[in-house]
Amino acid sequence: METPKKGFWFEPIEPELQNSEFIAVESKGFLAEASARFLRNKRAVFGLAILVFFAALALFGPFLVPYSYDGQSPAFVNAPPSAAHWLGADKFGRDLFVRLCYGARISLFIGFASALINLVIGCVLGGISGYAGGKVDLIIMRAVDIIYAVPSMLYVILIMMALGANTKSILIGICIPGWIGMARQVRGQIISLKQQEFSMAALVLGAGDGRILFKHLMINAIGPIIVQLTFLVPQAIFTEAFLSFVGVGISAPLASWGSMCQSAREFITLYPLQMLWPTLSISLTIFSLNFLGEGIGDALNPRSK
Amino acid sequence: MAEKLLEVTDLCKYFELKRGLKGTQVVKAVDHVSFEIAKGETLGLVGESGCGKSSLGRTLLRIYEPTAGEILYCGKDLARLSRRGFLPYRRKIQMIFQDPYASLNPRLTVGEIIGEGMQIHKLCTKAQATRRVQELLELVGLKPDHIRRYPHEFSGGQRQRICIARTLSLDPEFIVCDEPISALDVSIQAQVINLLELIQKERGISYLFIAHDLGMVKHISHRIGVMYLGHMVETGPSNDVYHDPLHPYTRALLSAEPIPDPRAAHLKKRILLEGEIPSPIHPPKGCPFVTRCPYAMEVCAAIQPPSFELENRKVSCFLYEQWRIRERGGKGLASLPQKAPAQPPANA
Repeated sequence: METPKKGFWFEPIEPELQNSEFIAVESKGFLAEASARFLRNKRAVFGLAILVFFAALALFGPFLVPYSYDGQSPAFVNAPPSAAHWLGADKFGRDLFVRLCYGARISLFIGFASALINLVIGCVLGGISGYAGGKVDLIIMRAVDIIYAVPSMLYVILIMMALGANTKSILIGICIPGWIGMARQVRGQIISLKQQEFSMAALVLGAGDGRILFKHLMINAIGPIIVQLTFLVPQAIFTEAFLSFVGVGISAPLASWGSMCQSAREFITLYPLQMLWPTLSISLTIFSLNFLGEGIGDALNPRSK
Repeated sequence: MAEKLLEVTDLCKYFELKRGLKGTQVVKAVDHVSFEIAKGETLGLVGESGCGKSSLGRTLLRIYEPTAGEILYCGKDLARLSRRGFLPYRRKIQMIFQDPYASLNPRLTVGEIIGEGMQIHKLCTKAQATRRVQELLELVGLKPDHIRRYPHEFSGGQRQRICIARTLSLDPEFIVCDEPISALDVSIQAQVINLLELIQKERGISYLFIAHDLGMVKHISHRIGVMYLGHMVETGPSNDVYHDPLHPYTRALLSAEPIPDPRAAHLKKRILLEGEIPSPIHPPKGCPFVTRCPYAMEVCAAIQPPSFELENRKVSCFLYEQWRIRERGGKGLASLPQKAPAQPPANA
């Protein structure tokens, strides 16, 4: 090995390089950086594309074909896919494509609406519980335990019986026990975050409780919250599908992905395609939601460059 | 002495521990601590880990609610104010935290972090705030265009500068520095200390400087307070305390400090304390130091020593009660026992 010349190792650096310890990355706004990070994540973008596809199908799909979801045509009973019926028709000769679109409306609506409601209730109650501690925490967590002790499917079925079988009552039924997981998750996060010095620093600056809780603590719990959220949406879609599948959900002739599976079940050996469309839709939606959630969580973290 | 800014009398902070069936136990983290800080003065606070230094600092800022005692700030008792009533004082009393990695919210930009206090106290408009944040960044030696960066993009020393800029944004009169340099590299420590001293010179801010690096405390402080097990055992001008420690604990603490010169270090005699620091749940009945003190007397185990004033110093130790008696007989500090008595009381 060659020995370096004298003075090789240490030389005074140029004055303009003195600040080179600073990382020279151009900062843009938070949203610009977050969306750039999101777009770089291929799986997340793929997930978003699938979801947008289903959302578009739910909104505009029915206008593409000249059928209604309950219009029966005896000539096409159990028809295979064709130019007239893109995905075929069911045992009453109803067009499967248009029913799949209406099903997407109900499934996606229940999925996202319940997730949103659970997000708000869970974050507020879990946040207050974790931040306030003491008696408030005790009361909220005991209420949570009591709600959690009853099987969640029971709420849905009881409310469906009381309020009738429609989307609204499924939504209420899902939301009553649905926020519990979120509340527990948020509470745990807040309890550990509030011990950190930046939370004390905010207090010392004179920040109020609301400011500390939402601006300093909740924002740092956003990763786990989004992960929880990506569980909530599929869970709600599954619950609706399951209810419709066992026959207590959306009532005929309305269509949901679950009720389509239910009616395809009878002839699954003869016409497996009828079963394929709704199950494929459910699977793809949930699959892409997981990718999307992961991508959003990463994108919102300023540390992941 | 200059005008008093802060006068703390008998401040206590007890934490309650719930221990199942055993009922509640009380940890006396800060126990009847009294001291004062003048305008533009730095009081260094030393003591080993867990002695209540940080709890004291946090209680002063009402991060912890004081259990008892008075915190007179410019004549106003902060301990008795409501949370809302305390808000105006939040501007004047600030804190720099130990860990610059934990004390900055990782999700906010530097601009948001430094500007938040001004926003809360409505000190200026948004446009003014941006300008002011940039000024503060320059003041602490960072660049104005760092305003949109996130904390993780900075090194430890730079982060501590951001923390300092955050506290300065409110133009405080008094800053509690809770071990602000212990998480930093030695090369960076000096930079941060110099910055703190510079700010003090320019603005006449008072500091309560908590640390366990004795050399650094002596360097920055005008006066030093020594804490042991929740008690303030000795306070006095930093040179006096450093060169002529009175309390036996202070002596042991100072003798433990490493000396950079190995030849000098050879000559120095270390006082080795025996035993462990007692649990703050079951502190000794009398003097908190009695279990480890080489000079312990019978009275020490029975009664908590009050604070004795010696010239401009205060020390909580019965040795100095005797000294005061002897002083009347004409003897000075030299009469102090330099060695342990021949027969230290067994298991005092």
